[in-house]
Amino acid sequence: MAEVVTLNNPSAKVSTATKPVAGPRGKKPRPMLSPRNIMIYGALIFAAVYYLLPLYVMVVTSLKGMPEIRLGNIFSPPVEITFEPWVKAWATACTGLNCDGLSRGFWNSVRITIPSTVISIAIASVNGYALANWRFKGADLFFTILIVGAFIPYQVMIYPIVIVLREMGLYGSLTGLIIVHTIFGMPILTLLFRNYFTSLPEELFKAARRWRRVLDDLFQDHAADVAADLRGRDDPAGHRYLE
Amino acid sequence: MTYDGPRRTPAGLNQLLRNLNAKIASIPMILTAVVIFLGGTLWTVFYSFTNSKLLPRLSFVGLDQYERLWAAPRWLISIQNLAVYGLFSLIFSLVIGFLLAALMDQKIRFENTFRTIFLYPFALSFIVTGLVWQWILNPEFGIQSVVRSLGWSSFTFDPLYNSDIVIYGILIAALWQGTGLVMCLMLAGLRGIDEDIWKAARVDGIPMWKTYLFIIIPMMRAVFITTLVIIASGIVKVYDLVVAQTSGGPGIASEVPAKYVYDYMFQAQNLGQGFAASTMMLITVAIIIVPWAYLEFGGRKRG
Repeated sequence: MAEVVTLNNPSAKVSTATKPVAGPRGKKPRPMLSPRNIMIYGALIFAAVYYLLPLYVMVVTSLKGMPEIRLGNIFSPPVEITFEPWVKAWATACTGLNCDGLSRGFWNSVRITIPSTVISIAIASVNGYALANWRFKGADLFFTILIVGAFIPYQVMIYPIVIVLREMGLYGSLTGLIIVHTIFGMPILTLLFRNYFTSLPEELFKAARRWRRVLDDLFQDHAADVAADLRGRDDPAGHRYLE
Repeated sequence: MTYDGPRRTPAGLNQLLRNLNAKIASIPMILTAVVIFLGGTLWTVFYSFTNSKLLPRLSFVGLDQYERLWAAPRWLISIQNLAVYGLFSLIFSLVIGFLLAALMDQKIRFENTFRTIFLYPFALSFIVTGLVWQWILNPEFGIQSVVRSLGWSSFTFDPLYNSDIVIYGILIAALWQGTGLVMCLMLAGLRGIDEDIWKAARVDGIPMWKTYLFIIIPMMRAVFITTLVIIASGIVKVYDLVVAQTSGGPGIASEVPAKYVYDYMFQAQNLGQGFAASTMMLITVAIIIVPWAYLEFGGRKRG
């Protein structure tokens, strides 16, 4: 590409012997307001407005008082901004029997999300590693069942899961929910980890193992030395090594 | 790591002990796959042939539950809704997703901003999506009242209150939520296409739309199929969106199969009916998945 440009460039003759010309490089700059750009950005901005509209409605409505919501339309900006609904939603709104708002649900979410994320990743990474590097007979079969299972509607498996959880005494508890989340997250996470470990060169793992073996050997030699040393010198507590 | 162990143990035990760490490491996966996914599914299919009411019971009634199911108007409407919703949802999310991805691929500025805007609805739950769109489509607060207050007083747009078009009201919200993901998948596919193909097409003077239609889209076949499967299996599961937007109404006009299953299992206390309906859902998914799995994995050897 670059040579073609220099050939067409009249000033190229001078500089071909020395360096590539300091002429225009890269793509030809396009004017910002070309019809093409107007069309592209117009379409993108139109789409963006459609996508942002509900968010706008959500935020604007949350800042209005109840009478204003009843009267006006939902797109108009609030006349009088009030943060009271936010406070109420967080702390005092009544859901069912409890009147402590979102806060209870929020902390429940945290208590479900953190353990199920940690457990899911722990299990899926080990599974994925086993599938990628320690293939055993039947592994592919189980993996296929797992992946197909990801597409089965929850409704099909929900009742047996309810029964199992009830038998385990976990039905209706947070632990039960964490287990269910871990189970339904497992297919996609295992797939991701398997693909990731498969994409890593095997030499990396071999090198890591060899390195560990070297360390082990070194350590064992060293330990043997130490032991021999200790026996040889009358220094049973090994003070020499603690200095 | 494929250390086979000493070969002094008997053959069967040896077979079991071979690669033992791999098997121990895979126990959670094997349990989930076999007990929950396979066992649970078979259990549900098995009990769909019984007349279980409040609790699962083993009194077989053959195909009675399925006959009742296909005679129920509510189920027929559910299936019809799912077909309409599924068809339009597939077409529109693929078309809109691809168009947005193609626009994003024009080396535009603020690409990250646009991508965030298109993708953020995906992070919201269906419940929130459903509620917000319920407000917007509400004739008293939303679009209809705004247009009317501008002077066009006979303007009518109340999809959620008209049983003929209620499913399209749900479709609007579903597309709003789901197209961002499709756009991202498509964009990843477009970025995977070799730049030289574009250069060659430009040198040959092929117009851009033709390049997309006849060169790029056929090259993205795999991406399209994967996206299709992801969208389709999501469509069959649709439940919370309907509950949040219309809870099946007006009347039973926006019922969907997943809601039928939940209602019969956990509210109407007619487990057998719920199991039969969920088995039908399973068959629907199988019709989508099996050809795909066959095309994707059947042809070549798995490696």
